[in-house]
Amino acid sequence: MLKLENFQDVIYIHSDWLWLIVALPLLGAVINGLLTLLAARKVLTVKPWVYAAVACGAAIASFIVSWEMFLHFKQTPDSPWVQELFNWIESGSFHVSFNLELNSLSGVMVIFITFLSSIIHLYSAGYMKGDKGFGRYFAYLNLFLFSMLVLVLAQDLLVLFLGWEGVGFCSYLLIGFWFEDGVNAEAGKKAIILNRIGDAGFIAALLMVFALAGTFNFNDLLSHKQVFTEATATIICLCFLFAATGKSAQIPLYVWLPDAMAGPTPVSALIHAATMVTAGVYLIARLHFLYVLAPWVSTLIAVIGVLTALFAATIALVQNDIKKVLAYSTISQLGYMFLGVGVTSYEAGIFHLITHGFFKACLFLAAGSVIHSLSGEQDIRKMGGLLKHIPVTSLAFLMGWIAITGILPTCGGFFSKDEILWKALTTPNSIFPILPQILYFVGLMTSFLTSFYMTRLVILVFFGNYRGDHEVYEHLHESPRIMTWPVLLLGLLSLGIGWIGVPVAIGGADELGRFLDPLFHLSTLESDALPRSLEPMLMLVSFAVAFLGVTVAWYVYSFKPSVSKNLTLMFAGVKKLLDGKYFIDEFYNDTVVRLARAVARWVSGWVIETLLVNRLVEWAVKGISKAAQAAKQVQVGFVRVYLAYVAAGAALLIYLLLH
Amino acid sequence: MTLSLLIGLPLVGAILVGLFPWEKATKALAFLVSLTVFIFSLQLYTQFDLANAGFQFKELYDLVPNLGIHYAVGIDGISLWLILLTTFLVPLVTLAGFGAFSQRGYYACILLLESAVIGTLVSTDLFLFYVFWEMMLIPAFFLIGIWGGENRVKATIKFVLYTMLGSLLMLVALLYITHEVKSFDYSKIADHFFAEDTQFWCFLAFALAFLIKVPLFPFHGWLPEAYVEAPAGGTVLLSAVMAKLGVYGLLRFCIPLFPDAAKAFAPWIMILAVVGVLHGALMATLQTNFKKILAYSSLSHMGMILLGIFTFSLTGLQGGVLQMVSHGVYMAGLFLLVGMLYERRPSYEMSNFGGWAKTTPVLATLFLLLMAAALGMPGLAGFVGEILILVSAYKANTVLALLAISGFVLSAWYFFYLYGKVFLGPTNKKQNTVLDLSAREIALLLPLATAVLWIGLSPNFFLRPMEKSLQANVIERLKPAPAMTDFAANQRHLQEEMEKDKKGSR
Repeated sequence: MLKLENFQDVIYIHSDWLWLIVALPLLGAVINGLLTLLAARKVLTVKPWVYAAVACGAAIASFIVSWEMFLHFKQTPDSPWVQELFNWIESGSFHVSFNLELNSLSGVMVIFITFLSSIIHLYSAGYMKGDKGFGRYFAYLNLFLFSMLVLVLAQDLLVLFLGWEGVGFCSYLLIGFWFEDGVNAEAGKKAIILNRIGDAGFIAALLMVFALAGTFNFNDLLSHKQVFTEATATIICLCFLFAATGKSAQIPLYVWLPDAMAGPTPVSALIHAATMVTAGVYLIARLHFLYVLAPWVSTLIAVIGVLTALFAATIALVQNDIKKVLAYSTISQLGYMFLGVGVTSYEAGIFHLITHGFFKACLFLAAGSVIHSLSGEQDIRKMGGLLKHIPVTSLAFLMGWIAITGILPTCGGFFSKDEILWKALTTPNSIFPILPQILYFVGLMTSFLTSFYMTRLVILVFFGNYRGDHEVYEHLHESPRIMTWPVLLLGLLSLGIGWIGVPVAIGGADELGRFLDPLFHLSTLESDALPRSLEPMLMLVSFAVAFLGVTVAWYVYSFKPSVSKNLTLMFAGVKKLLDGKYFIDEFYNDTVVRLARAVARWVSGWVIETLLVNRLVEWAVKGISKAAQAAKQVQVGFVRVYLAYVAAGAALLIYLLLH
Repeated sequence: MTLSLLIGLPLVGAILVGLFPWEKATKALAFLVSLTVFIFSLQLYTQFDLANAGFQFKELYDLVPNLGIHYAVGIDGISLWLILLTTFLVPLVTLAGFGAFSQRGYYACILLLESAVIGTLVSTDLFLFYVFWEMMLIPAFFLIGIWGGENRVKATIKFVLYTMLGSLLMLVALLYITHEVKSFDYSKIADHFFAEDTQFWCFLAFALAFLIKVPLFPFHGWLPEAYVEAPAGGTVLLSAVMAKLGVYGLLRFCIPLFPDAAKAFAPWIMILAVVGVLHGALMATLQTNFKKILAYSSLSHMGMILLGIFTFSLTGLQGGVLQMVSHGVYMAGLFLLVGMLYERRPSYEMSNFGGWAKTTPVLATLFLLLMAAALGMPGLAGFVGEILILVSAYKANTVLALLAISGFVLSAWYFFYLYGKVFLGPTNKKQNTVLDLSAREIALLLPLATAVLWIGLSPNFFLRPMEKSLQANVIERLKPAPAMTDFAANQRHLQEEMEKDKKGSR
């Protein structure tokens, strides 16, 4: 099973210009940050287009640079490009250099990230127009892009951690971007604290990795992988997995993501759908050589993934906030990616990461455009029939819908989701032989639910009659072109993006899979349970399930609204459970948070601080002063008493001398 | 003469400030003096000999010849950074006082304290060291007692009583060992071998004095009140400078002079340090007074530093000393910012604030940056020291290191809570008149912001000069068993473990 011995020495190509990819967004962030502060001080007045031009320019320039490099890199994909920037930390045997590495995985990620950010930067220029914090917004967004690019290009776990913490921090800033509303600020705080809890796992893993291998460099770890036993690899991988569930919003740490929708919608599209939340998947894929040593953890990842996928999809069924539906959908789709990397099919996980990034960004941006058109309305019960009012936005959203449901074979996420399900079914599990079938079945069920809730959303928003306020209706308008064009472009791309990985089984080239395969194939378990010719059959099954989901939802919400009402009445308990999101937030508040508060208040605050540290000292001081008081009594001030002391002392002395 | 001038300049400055006829100009004078001291102190770095592990810039004069007391000073890579930290911070503290204080006494005290601190850091004669150590207490006493908040008297008494208790014990031990060696000279005492008993008791007496100053849990009873009641500048000097002297004392005296006792006590101190990390962080989450949050977070962070020092590995020691410098910089910045908030709205209660990021964007941005450094955000000052400490602590004691990580989680809890309460949320109407930072305030915070980035991105600049001294003056004195520092040793260790595993599975 362990084929790691076959890893060969890799030849690295030195590159002088990798730094440009990360430096450009950083420069944009610094310029915009300084301009914003100077403008706030009224030192100078900055026109809004300047901020937008700087930020978009930085993102697009970064994309162009990375695209150029990627094209060159693609010719020799077996030799990663490395740039050694500087010696970061050097202390005894602890040595970390700040290096960037462009390999097939990070290359694909960089293209994906810079391209999507460029589009979302452009869209933001329209969406955030007129906002007081325009400059601040773009400074944060560029800073995020910088951190994300450091995260994927890092050649070292500690440098990756810099990006990892950086994206979390930018996410905090952007969720609470409209901080004057306490709810938004609270949502940001929740996100960063839950992420920090996950990061404790990251640091613990860092310590163990260093104690065992004495290095954080991925390539050194790969060539010294023999220092990891199954036991140590399992613990380390568990810790990294914990960090990944925080960042990628999986069970048990997913609860921050729905609240994170408090941020501006383009932020939700870029950070909380397409890029940052996939960092956990990326981390696991980057550490594939460790995870293959820990089959237990891989199994756990698959189980967490599929459970999260199902769990979040059921919550999405009853959400009434357009962004919340998409948020739970994101959690659910991230679950698919976890399933993919959990069954050691890293290419499939990354493939779905990319297709999902496109169609979910498209859906979010289109949702943002809907919200923009409706003067900020997010409740889908107050929408309806928008297709004829905002046709371009609707068209884009429908393209995203097609891509996520997989209702049109070959479009959008059809191939990537199918690849994951196929791998889930065919990768044998040595620990639970029955698991592949369960994973496949639950995955399929989630696919049905996905089609269902997405169709529900589409019908309630774009079809039927308008149900909202009259006043909003008056101002109903299509968004400006700076918003609609990027969305439309994303819509078209999300339909076509699946073609980068058309499965070989149906005569495709599977370009992405073949490109990433050399990196991963030694860590990927053989899937030999079923013949590959069965794959087209299973594709049909997937399609049928998706089709069923769409049809049922269409029927229920278009023609028989009563069915939904009756179902709600019949299963009132279930509805309540779903509406309350299974009351997980409440559960955490009542257990973990309360316990932590109680420990802080009683153990630290009372027993230790009050009793031990303060009272004890006070008592000691009081005791001393009492003793002093007592001693003071001896000094009575009468000569006769002092004479008596002298006599007694003399008697004692004589007695002692005589004996 | 460099070191003597460094002690003398602020001392003369303090006297000048005290006697200067025109009281209004005394603050400017004090600032000029402290700035001169800082610029002058830079030559310590430029002329520092990296290859020399021993004391440099040495000076030696007889003070009381018949008692063997000398005026002996010198610095090595450990004291170098603490002196530069002090001389760097004092001008900023002085400048920060311009808004709230115009009395000559305040500035004279600050300069006097600077002189005493530098004296403590450069003394290589134990008697001289003790004189300077005690001299520190006087200006600190006045700073809190006169220019402090409402409950300053109680806070001052507590602070002085705690400190005096430690100092007296140290004095007894100091007299005992100098009597045994018949010299006050540091090198002679360091080369002398003390019997096990002597080591035990003397370590305890010295360590208590230093650990109270740091403070180590549970000797921190004086800390919350003293930190909160002291004026902003006083708190900065307490947390950023004087707390470091406690750690410095451990590094310079306790560990090298009594190595066997140090090794015996190390596990206990590490346990207390980790308890302090957790306890300080938990206490910080309970506070409604944001200066108290910072005070307790300081307790928590000082625990981390001690954890690193008592691993006795080069990485842990370097991490600890680097973290002292980082902590000095970001805590100074945070406490100064708290002082600036106080000048705008005289309260430390978070409920009196809210939405300040809107009215004072520059203040909020700088607070966020320094807070991020305190949180251990990679790329900023706090992270490097923390990871070095944790990595070496993990090798020394896995459980303690893993427990210490929770300090990292809790710090996010209280810091983001603080930031949310003070800077985010709806704005109070009364606040519309609040002004953002003045040019003076920005000018004094920018060096701190720069330093935070510098330490975070280029820690080697700071780590390199201290390496040789830590190796020679601390590790060599402990003569540790060969540590597993290289990869080969690791592998050997692993193979042994693997074999153990195999045996176990059979």
